[in-house]
Amino acid sequence: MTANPETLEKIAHIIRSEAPRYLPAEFVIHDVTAENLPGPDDEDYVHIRVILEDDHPELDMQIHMRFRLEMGDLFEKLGIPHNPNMSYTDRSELNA
Amino acid sequence: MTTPISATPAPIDWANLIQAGRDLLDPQQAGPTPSHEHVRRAASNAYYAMFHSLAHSNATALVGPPTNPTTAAAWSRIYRGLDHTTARRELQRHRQDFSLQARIFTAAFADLQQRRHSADYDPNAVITTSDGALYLNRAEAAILGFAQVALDERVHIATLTLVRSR
Repeated sequence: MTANPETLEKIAHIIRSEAPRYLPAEFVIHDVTAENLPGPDDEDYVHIRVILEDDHPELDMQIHMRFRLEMGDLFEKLGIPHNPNMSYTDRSELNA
Repeated sequence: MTTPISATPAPIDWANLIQAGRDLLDPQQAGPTPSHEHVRRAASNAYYAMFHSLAHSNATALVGPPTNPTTAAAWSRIYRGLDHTTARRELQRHRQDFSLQARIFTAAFADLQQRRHSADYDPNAVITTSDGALYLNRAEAAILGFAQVALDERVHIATLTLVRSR
């Protein structure tokens, strides 16, 4: 399902607001983006990219999975019909 | 000519798929900066590790270990019966009924299937080395968690993912 620009903006805002509750302090968020991408079965999906400042420790997968599940519940509660499909990227990787 | 059915069919090993993905990102094997193609293959492997772990779980939960030609044929049929779209949709549809580990598996299955699609088909999709490593770690953690799910729930999930709702 394709998200309109307002929904993409809202999704990025929610993730940016909620991420500090889950990620340890060493993870400094530079930006959060959300975009539509073509997915399986000709259905678009929303991909969220959390862009981090470099030099953070490795992400604890249990933290990420809890964040992902709870954001899924929050999106559902807010009537946002998209999965929070999130990736984390170092700022330097996108500039390379 | 038909392929003879092995008496003891074996799953495609999800852990080997994860390791193969990690090898693609390993600077000692792939060079200091893995190519885009290495990274895309690693991301794809993360999803396929999940897919084959579910196919294996379904076959073992419904048939049990294959011990003779009859159970081997049944096991292989169930294993090969898993369809990507049906699995994703039915897991998503029923996720609120699942245990925590099954919900974690469901979320990872859907997310990584979508990212696999981008990695394999979308030349414009950005898949970074961090993405590839994250997806492999996430697949591994979700699969290990799913292995702890009780047999009766795995039977339930097998029927959901193999038979479409009407």
